[in-house]
Amino acid sequence: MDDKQSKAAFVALSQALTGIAGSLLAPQLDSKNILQTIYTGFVNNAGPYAAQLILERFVSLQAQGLSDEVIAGRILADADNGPVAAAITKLWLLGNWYQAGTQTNPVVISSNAYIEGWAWKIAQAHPMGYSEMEPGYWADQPPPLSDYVTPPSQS
Amino acid sequence: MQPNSSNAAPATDGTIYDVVIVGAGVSGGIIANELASKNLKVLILEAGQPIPASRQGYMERYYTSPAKMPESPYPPNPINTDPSQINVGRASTNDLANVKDPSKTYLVQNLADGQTPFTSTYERIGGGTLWHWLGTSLRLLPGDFELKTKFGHGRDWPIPYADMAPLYARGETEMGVSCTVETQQYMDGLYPPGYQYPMPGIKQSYLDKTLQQSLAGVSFYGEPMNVAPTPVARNSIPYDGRRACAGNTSCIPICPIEAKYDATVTINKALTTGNVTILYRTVASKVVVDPESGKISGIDYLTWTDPRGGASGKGTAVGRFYVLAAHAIETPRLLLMSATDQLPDGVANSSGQVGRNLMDHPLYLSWALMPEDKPIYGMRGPLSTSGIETLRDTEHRKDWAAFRMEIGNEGWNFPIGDPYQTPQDFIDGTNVSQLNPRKEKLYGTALVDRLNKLFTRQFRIANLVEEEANPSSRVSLSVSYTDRLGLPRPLIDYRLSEYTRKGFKKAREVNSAIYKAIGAKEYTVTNKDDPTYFEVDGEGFNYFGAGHLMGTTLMGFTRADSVVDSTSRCWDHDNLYIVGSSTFPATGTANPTLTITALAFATADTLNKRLTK
Repeated sequence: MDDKQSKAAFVALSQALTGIAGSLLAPQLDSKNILQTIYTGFVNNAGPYAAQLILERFVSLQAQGLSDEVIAGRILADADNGPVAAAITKLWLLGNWYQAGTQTNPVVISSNAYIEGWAWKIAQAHPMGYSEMEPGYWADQPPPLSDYVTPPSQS
Repeated sequence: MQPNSSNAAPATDGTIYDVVIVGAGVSGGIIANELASKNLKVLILEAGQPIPASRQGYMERYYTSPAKMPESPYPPNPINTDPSQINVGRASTNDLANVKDPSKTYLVQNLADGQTPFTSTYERIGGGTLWHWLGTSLRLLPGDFELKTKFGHGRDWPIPYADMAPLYARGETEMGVSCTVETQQYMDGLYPPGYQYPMPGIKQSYLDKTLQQSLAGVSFYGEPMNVAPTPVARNSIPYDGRRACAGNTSCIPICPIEAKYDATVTINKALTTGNVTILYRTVASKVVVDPESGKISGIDYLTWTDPRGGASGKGTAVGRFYVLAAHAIETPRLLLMSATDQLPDGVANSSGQVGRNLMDHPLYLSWALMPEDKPIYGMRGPLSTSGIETLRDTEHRKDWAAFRMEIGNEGWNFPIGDPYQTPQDFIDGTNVSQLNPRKEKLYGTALVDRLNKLFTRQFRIANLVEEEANPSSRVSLSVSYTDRLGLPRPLIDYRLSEYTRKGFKKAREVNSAIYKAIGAKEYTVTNKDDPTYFEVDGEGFNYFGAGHLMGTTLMGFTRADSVVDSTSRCWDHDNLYIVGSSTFPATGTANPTLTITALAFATADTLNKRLTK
């Protein structure tokens, strides 16, 4: 896979793992260059061998026409790819890379990775220390979850 | 902009300032600004790094910090650092994980004889610890000033509430406190007729309003559980050239838009007068006493350039008056370090009380999940916008310590570090959060949906419990451990009194009853292995530091049993004043900053009179 194909596979894999549409994870207008940030964080921390392995596994499952859910379930069940898949999910949600089997002392990818962490949107909130909301917004209910997180169109 | 600040310490030799202040925090800033605006000349010695031109560097440090702690944005990084190798150390939350190991914790904690650690932290940088305060600006209540007389505990203040009220108003104006007087109905007589805060109150959160409705008509110990908006030094409208709070949910450790007041606001005003000089990276090391007059003749200081490089120079600052404004650990440390043959117990210490009566608002934390049909949408808005204040000054203080209940808008961030822990539990199949008892492993939309349902129902209550003055809880000097400048590090002896412990028990009882009353499921856990663990009637508790360091140079009625008089002047030295919460003889349950500002204004008035008469 060339770089473009690898990134495309990474986005599709990430969609399957996180349940968040790939078009949101890697928006066309990517003003914070978030795809490159997260992708680089993934490759650097998983290591190029493990990175290639999981992407190739994903592509081969995808070629069988399997659904996101089935693909993600199988990859997470892999002895080798499973921990990497978990780390990718955490990376998108939390902006940090956690070594397999750990929940503390992560590698912080970048300030943008923190700010764009999806856990905040899943909470219908915003990152602590970074809000683009108007003063007083906290007095009311937030918009519905679907305004923050769009699931993939494929089920 | 800092027109008169300088990174390199210029010589102060030959210059006699009207006032020399130790500490560029809120107290020092207010006194400097008040006096400088009267054309008096002020020198401030600040141990730490200068106030940066922009807070963006601090924001980046915060964003990229693996654990978002109060000290995360601020230099130097205390993690994995031996405090003996740092010129200007300070207590940090990192210390708490290593409380028994002085090679990793700046405060040397004596945990013998059932003592427990002192767990509050502070900063030593330009602007001081107000960089990461919450902004809560409650007044102490009238009974707080008469704790001994009315309730038989601790000590009284030598100042009545009536004298503090106008000073509180000045603090509220300087900081820009947002509050509507009518919402503060839990105590009569707090305000003079017609008093208004400088700004209307900050809006209550959706959580606050939900709790308010759910707790309507609910009382405990005869007091209604009213959810009252908290007076806060966060702008509800543009004020003093700063923006309105936009709810970034990071008051601690840093407001990204300076909608929350901090000491740099006043310090910058002071610098603009042209009458204030700040020497940064300049550590006061000795208060020098003239043996004949008993007056302070100068303050010796060490300068540094490399944070780990030791001293690079030294000098003596000379003024007509001196003010120590270095809070409740570094101020007594400096006084004790200033011991001489003539004053073997240190400066200002004829009472033997310097360093004693170290206090905090030890914090009882509880957390719960709202019912499924009542999400409250945390992690939004200022960290806290309301509290339950009705148990702060009741007759029960005869039996148990008062406490206030601060309602948090940040979900379970404080209790378990969410939104980091719960997702990891559901990704890894673990149950650290207690929200995944079946240890499910989820992914895809099931993961998103589950997390959303949990995040949006999380909230917590932080109970700030009163302490009474106890001379055995103290700061002294370590004989074994120093900082990189060779100065002895603070040695801490600390324990919670029975009075405070009983307050914890009541706080738990009331919190749990609140959760039950509103149908929330409580998840509070106690860790027996934590060094803060203690028991009351066989029931185990942990406590957190509130960051409210108090006591250690108490204000009192007589020179025999206190360090400063009611004007904050040291009994022993006519030209030495101490400001900040180290002078508080009783803590009450209000966050101390507003009272600190009130006392700073009073001290500035006194100094102005004495300098201009």
